Amino acid sequence: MPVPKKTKKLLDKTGQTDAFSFKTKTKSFFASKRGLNEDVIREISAQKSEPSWMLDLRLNAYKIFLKKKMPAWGPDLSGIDFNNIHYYVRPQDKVKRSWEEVPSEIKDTFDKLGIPEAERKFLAGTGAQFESEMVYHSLAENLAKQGVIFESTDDALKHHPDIFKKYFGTIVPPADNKFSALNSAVWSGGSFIYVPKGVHVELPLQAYFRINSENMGQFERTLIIADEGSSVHYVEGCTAPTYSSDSLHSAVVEIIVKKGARVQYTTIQNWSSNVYNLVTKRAAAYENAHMYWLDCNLGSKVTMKYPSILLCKPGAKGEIQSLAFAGEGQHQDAGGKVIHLSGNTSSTIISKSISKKGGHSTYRGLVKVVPGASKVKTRVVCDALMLDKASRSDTYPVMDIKEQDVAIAHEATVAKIGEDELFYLMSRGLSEEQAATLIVNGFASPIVKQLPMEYAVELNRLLALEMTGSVG
Amino acid sequence: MINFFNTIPNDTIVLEKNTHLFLVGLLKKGWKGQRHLVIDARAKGASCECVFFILGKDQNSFQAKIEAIHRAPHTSIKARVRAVLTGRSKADIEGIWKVEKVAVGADTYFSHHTLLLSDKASAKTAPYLEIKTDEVKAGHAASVGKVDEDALFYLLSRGLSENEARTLLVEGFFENDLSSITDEKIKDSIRKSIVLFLSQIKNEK
Repeated sequence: MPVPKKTKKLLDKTGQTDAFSFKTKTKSFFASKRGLNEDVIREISAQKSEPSWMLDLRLNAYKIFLKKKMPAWGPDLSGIDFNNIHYYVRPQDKVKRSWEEVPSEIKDTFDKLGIPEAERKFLAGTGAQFESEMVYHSLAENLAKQGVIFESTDDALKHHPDIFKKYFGTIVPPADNKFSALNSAVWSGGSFIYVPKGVHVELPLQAYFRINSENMGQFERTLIIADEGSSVHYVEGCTAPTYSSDSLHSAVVEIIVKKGARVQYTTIQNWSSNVYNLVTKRAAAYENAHMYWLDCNLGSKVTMKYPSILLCKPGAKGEIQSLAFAGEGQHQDAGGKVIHLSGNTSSTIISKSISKKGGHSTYRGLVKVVPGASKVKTRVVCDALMLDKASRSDTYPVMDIKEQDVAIAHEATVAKIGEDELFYLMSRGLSEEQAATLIVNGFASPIVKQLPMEYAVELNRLLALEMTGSVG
Repeated sequence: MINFFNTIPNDTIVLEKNTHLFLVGLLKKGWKGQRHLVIDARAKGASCECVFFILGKDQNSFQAKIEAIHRAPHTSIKARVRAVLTGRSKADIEGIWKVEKVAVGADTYFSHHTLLLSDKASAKTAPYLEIKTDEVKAGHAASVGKVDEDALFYLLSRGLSENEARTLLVEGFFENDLSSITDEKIKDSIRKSIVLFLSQIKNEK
């Protein structure tokens, strides 16, 4: 996320390195008690005055959540105490359309993060989520006129019930996994985007997610529908202050990319190091549609996130590019999944991970081709860079191919920073830290390059911050 | 010294200090269930190279887990698996490559390439890497595909029959990893098996 100049100056003065770790004192409009039971879910639904079908869906999802076991593979999730989490914190009474109406302490938070400033400069629309609810949502007027919908998911349920009911939970059903069930039971906030036929949203839409209180669970739900021949680029950013006990972020994102449409979903995740980030993201792409996930994971304690693409019809194309940086005490378990359900589809997965100071990064991926899906092309490349002996890097790709007429390729490399490269840069007058930072930036650049300019600059800065004090 | 197998051994191979092992497998018959080969490099300077060729036909299933563990400094474990599958045969190879913290200077590689010659054949490949130190050279590669149409077209335009052209391309597919075998006798017998295998598929048609 771009940090405004004002905040940057302040940080430089005070010598702080983390721009996002500040806490804001806020009075919540409503906060559920710690822990989860049916009453909490009924309360959430009542607070939102939802239709009864949604309450039923929530209660049913809760039953599934209780039945499902925690994943037995992957990172250690034993630190999550489901009874110690506030499942719903409502910071204000309703979503504001004008920045001035947002309560001043929340406004102040986002001002420090540079949200409205960014909107004025280069965004077509912005949403900001504080705790459980979207506090602010706006969309450029010309897009609203063309029928583009960009609202908080809660508002969309009220304003567009038909289209909502038609798509909600169709790509990621509650029974998909334990955390999608949890999200379906207690979801709140998130963005709903509908782009009508043939409409191109030229500038990105952005949503910003902020966890502010301790032991908070954020469960946003995002649903994007790109109708035939349309295109949209959605950017999300996430931060939270550091507390001594852990918070949970468990989102579900569903995307439908119809015939000839294109959707790009960009994430810059920079949660503080006490957030469990367990997210289910999946897209379905139809004839000649193009789905593109660009996923950058820097923060959090544990991230488990594998953006997925179902290529349902001929000509569909899927692309996943992910960048993960695992520092001290962090486990980034990221990757991507592509399921080729139709012939003449193609996909690319490019993953780059960096681990330092005992950080643990994992690539976990799946490429599946069903019988009869001929003329499928896919390429998977994973590169890992390890900065010291204490770090760890794992790669778990699976390729399950049930069709003959395909071209599937996978390659992976793991390497440390080259002594030669370091030596060369240092002989040119750079310090070891500067040299290492330059090499890390170079390693990440093929992915960073794909980001919009402002974000790319910021990500490079974040990488440089992560590298501070990493050598020596 | 080359050890020759006709299957993937269901075994644990412990590599002692400075031993160099070369395993070659020519697999023409499948098996039930999953075979599990463990290569455990426990002492400094040990190395092991494996090359497995799979010729799958009918309902044959080749399911195996190959686990390579680097537990000592300067060890090298490399494995290459090449499979050609016809009929309803399938190859499901899991390669689990682990480099422990003490295994600095490990050199590790796993590849699994599959050529599918029938529309009912299928392949699953899962090349895993778990690396706990930065002083390593680690890589893996996998591919699944059919005979390259462009190469086939080229050979046909040069006057080869379709069978001849296909045979040549499949032989070429194996040749990549055959070249690493130094024993000419073993190399020749594998080549002969491949040619025989390919001529049998033609007879099936």
